[in-house]
Amino acid sequence: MMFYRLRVTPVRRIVTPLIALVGFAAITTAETSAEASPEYPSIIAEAVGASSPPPCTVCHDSPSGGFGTATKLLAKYLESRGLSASDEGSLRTALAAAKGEKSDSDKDGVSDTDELKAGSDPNAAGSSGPPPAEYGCGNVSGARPANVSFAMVAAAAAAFVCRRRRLRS
Amino acid sequence: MSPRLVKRTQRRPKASWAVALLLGVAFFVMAPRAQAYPWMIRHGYTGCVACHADPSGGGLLTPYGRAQSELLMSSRYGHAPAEEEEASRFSGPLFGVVTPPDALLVGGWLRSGYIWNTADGKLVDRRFLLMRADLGAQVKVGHFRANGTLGIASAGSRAQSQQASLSSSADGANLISREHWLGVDLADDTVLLRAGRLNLPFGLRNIEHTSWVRSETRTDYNQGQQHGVAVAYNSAAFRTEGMLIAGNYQLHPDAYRERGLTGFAELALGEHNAVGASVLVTRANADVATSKETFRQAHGVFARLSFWRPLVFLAEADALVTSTSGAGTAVGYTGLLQADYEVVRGVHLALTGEGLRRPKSGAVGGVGGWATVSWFFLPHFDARLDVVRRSGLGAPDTMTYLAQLQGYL
Repeated sequence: MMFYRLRVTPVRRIVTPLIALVGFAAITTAETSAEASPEYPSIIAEAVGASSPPPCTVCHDSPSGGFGTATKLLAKYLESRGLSASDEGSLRTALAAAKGEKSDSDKDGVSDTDELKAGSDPNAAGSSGPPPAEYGCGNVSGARPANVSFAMVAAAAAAFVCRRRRLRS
Repeated sequence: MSPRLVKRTQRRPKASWAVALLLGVAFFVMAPRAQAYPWMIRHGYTGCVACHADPSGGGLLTPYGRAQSELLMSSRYGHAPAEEEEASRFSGPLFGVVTPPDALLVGGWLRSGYIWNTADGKLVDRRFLLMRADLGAQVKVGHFRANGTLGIASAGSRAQSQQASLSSSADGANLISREHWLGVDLADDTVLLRAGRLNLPFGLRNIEHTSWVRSETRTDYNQGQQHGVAVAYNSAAFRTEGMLIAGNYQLHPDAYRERGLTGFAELALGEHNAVGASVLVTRANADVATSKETFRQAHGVFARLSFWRPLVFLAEADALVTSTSGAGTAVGYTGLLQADYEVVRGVHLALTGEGLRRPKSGAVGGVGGWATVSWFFLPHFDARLDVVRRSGLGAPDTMTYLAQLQGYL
């Protein structure tokens, strides 16, 4: 059905340049991780001296974060001290204020920064609940996702080149 | 060969490289999702089991699924397809270089892109995203199967991948496994019994994993899998899957793990239409979002309708019920309506509307709209542009611009 087809060039005419695409993809994905914005949990851990980043739910009411879900007491306090979305500087400033003011969002007598450092929940007085949620089965600090993805794509490109050579021979 | 033809032939490689460069640029500025396309019902596929290892859709493709990806989904260039055309070797694993034995399915996913977010008109976030870099395999011996994926997640995509983390590196770059399960095929392969980390059988298995029907029911295909036992049944006109949820064992401590059940049933109405219903009931000693004991329910209906092959409607409506210790029971809702129009083969325009009222006392409703263009420019490769506007929920109005490219190896 004519309606249903594009008329450009035969597939084989663009198959070879696909190698360029894959190679290019390898470079871009390698850069992806390198240029990704550091996340707020890591900044919080660094600022308060915690051994691991807190979960997103320390501020958000959704495990995945997202706009409109930063409804926790700590989030409201930090917002009152200038925190805005995706602005690392505003987070550092707000955390500095929390430290200076010894803010205590849940009024349990332990400051927010001390609770963040200890891994307890600054939104729940007494922290009678379980410790903050953690994901994963073990620690492999130093994982290099960009290199792994680069290797995966490079392997695909190499395989593709091999196939082309085999077809030509 | 005439001089004119020679000249044209010499010119083609340059044009081809230009196409590749454009695609490369597209890749450079883009990012996507997983592969699960409920709109394949336009081609008469009311079920998923013929093309996917997962009987309810998504994930590893079977050899037949790989062939259909090339023959039905991707753009064609030049010649008209023959009546009984077979897929090229290009559709095979790693562009056809690898020819695994019948007992083995292999595949890989690579998704990357670029996202811009605005809130109340102000740009608040823009970054590259490595959204998926996974390898997957399935071995089948007799009636038994072992299936799993292993990948990596960058720091930038932590929020959308952490629930599948195997490791817990402090910088957010982690090994992840979204699925891993053992299964046995029964009753002439119409029944599959599985145990492991599985996609939750609920509603549409749509690729828009951030759509509210997926994120608010916590049944997204990107990272919402949980450990448990499931049984699926597939026939020509009816498919269903039920799962006993044991919790996400990649989440600690145990108090946060949700336990319960979920399932769906879908009835085909002819070759191009299907309607279904879903249920989900879970309980956790401490909800991962609130740390409070929570009893969570979602009940809904969904439909896939195509009265004219180029156009498919996908619809889902779910009631959300949450009972939280100390806060009582609250009811909310979420819904999605999507129209997917295949302009020419491989090129899709889609408009999606969604609504949400979270199950919390005093919650404010919100609405969202998506405009999407996607192009399956080669077998297993697609580029996609999304513009998403959301408002309400007591939060700033947001706009998201997402450019993405996905490849399945």
